[in-house]
Amino acid sequence: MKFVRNSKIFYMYCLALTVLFLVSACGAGANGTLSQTAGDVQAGSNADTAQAGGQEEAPASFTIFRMESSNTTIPPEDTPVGKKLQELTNVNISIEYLVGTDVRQKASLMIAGGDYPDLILPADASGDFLAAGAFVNLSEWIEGSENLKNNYTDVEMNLMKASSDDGGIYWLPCGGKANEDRLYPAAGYYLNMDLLKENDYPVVTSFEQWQDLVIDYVKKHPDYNGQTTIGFTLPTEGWRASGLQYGGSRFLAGYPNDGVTVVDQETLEMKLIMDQDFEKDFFRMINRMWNEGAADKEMFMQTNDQYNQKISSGRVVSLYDQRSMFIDALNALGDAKLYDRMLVAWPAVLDGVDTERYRGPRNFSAGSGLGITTSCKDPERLFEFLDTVASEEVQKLLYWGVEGEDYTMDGGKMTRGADQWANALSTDYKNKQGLEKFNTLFWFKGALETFSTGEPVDPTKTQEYADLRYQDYEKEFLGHYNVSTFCDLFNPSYDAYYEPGWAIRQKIPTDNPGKVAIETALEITREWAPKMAQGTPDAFDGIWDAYVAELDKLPLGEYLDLANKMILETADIYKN
Amino acid sequence: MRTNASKWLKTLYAQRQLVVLSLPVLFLLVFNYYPLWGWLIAFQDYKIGKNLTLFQQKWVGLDNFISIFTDSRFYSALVNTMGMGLLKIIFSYLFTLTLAVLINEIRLLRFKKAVQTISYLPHFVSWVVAANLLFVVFSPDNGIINLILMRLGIIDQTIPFMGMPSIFWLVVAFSEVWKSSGYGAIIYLSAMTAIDPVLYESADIDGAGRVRKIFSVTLPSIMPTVKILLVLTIGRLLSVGFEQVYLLRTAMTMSTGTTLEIYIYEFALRYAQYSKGAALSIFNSAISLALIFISHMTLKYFDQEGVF
Repeated sequence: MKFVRNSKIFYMYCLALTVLFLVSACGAGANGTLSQTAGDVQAGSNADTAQAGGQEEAPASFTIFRMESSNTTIPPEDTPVGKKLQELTNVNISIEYLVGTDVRQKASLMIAGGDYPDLILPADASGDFLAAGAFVNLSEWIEGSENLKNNYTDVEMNLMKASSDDGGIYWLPCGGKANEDRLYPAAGYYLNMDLLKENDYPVVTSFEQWQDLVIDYVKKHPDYNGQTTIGFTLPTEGWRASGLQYGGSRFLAGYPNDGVTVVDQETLEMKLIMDQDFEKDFFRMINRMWNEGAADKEMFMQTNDQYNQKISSGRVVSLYDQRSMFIDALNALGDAKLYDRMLVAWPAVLDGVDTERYRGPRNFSAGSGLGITTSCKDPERLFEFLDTVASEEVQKLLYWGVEGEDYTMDGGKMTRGADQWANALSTDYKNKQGLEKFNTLFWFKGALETFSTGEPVDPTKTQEYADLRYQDYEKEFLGHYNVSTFCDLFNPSYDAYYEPGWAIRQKIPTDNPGKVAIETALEITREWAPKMAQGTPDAFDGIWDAYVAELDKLPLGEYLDLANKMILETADIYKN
Repeated sequence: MRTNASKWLKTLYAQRQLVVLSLPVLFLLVFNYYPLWGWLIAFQDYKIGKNLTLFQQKWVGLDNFISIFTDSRFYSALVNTMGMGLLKIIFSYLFTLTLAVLINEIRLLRFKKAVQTISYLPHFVSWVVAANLLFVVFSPDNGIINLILMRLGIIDQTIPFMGMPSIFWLVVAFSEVWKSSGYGAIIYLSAMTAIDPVLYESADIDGAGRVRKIFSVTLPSIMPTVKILLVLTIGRLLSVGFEQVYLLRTAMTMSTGTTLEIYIYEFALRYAQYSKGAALSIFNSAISLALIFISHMTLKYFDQEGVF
């Protein structure tokens, strides 16, 4: 008897489960947004009470998604600076980061799900979110804002409006305020210090010369620390392959960074990099390195981690990359005191190129930025929060840290003592304190600007900082060249007169046929690069021709026409 | 009314076993057939995130299929998939069966258990770890295999095993063998335990040796299991394992390492071409269905002729 009763309960239970499954499956299909983040709900209810409560406003909560991977395990919002930020603004924020590196995949998944966090910093996927209607138009709120309105010049405001079809502003540009590197150039052809020392500190400006130096050095020093010396390597994993696909070659021909394209500096005519002659010269260099035995044999099959590991071991003699991408490896070299293996960037150009533009223009890019999503329950409150963050008080907190801890006010001027500078230079401390963890998220003040009190916004752009930041071996090295910073080895930055090509690429949605063709072309380049590298020098021309024939099958003109039109529009904004 | 309801409940109770049995079918309907609605987007120019319903999207007929079938990258992906799939089936069958037979022949119980544990252990390692392990072991830059071969003087230059387009299909097939044959052998071993010992005894009496017994008793007895598994595996010829290939594939091996699944992934998720992704999935399903029928009918045909 007992068994029968139990089995009955069991059947009923199964039936109930089935019904539950069905209901939930159909329900989700119909509404699409059954699940909401706790933050949304909280924000909504808080907003209601806020209106009734007056002065004693309850803190609102917002979720933020940042399309960048985090380099610390400490959530910035839990640090002293983060807490202070939330106290000043009366808003609780929780920041989620990209896991891994595939921005495009994450963006597609978020859009397909249709359930967004309140605020997104979309990196390269801004055009996708805009095309999917994920962002709220901010134009009117900016007009009526207290701080943000005054934060942008007329040109900047017009560029922001030009980034959408309907003239609305859908994001607050972040990381796009005019900026330049003062201590280390952003990109270049790197050589290690030991090689430069052996050759009596030559000034490297020619691409040929750069290659010869590397090949000679590898022949003289086949081993380092018991392992083979790696003459030349490049990151080739997924999105990190950009240096290989197009990033490395454009500077050789004297162009600035315009993404997958180069823009003629006079006529503003746009060309795709992947089939240009200077790209051929770049691949011929890799081919030469490979055949001379200087190239990294694992180059085309390494992960980004392996790449960084090789640099940290000191085995790598030369490479092309953007400094911020392998900064961790350089720091590891510094920590291990392998100073002679430290890599220095050089502005190598091809024969016949007069001007190099490695450091490029100080440009303002409206290509991407913080956007409030349609999923946000109280977008006005969120915008209010952003407006408060744009105030000088909060921006000082984000750039300088907590007063009394990270800096002291001395006679109305911001100063840092030796201890405070030491802290400000320590990655560990910055992670714990939250120092400089928010200024690139809520990047409303340009690093080169000054506050109304007269101090520079970013204390790391001053000569005082350079003197502190450079270590003795770096100062000694610079002494051999009679320059005061590594940037002085390059041509200076200049004022922008059009919006950079990479920002244009961000603004075009992924499913645009022209952009699909570009992405396909990039895949083809990544596929053909090893073939071009590993062929014999005699076979190189043939492989190149086959590769270009492969590219020619794609409708690449469509993208170029569209992007060129957008560049010319932004150039007009600068002119007026 | 009341009597009707109670009658219905009574029938329901009387056939309660059937009701429970229908649960898996419901599960299948909800999770495997209900999503087939989505196939409609293969015939549309589908845009996500605009809050348009399925029927407000733009219909484009067979445009998506045409653009796929005129893309040369699709055909190379198809060839790669078929190649890898076939190699995988051939080698994993060969190795799994051999392993199962060999383990079955071990008389020392402790040794048998140890071999079994070691051989099925890789199955529980995620492909992310396994792929990285393979890259480290086979690396041309201080990888242990290359070091051994160099020291033994077999090669004078390191070989980038993981980066050779010509052997990439084999790399995929053998890494699959390494990872799954131990686990796959469990099914055959359980089938072998079900073989009637009388058969072995009579084979002994007839004077059969161990090898003879393997071919005349063990293998024929587990053939039904092998055949069923074969039909099921052939149906999945086109799904060669996304994560495995995706993780083993590098810039070096893109030409022979791009499978249909990776091709779909790139279109649908990376370039937001959901319609093309759906069209490719339909194609994939159609081929799989055809393969299942063909293999099933072939086996049935041979069975009637009594080949096995």
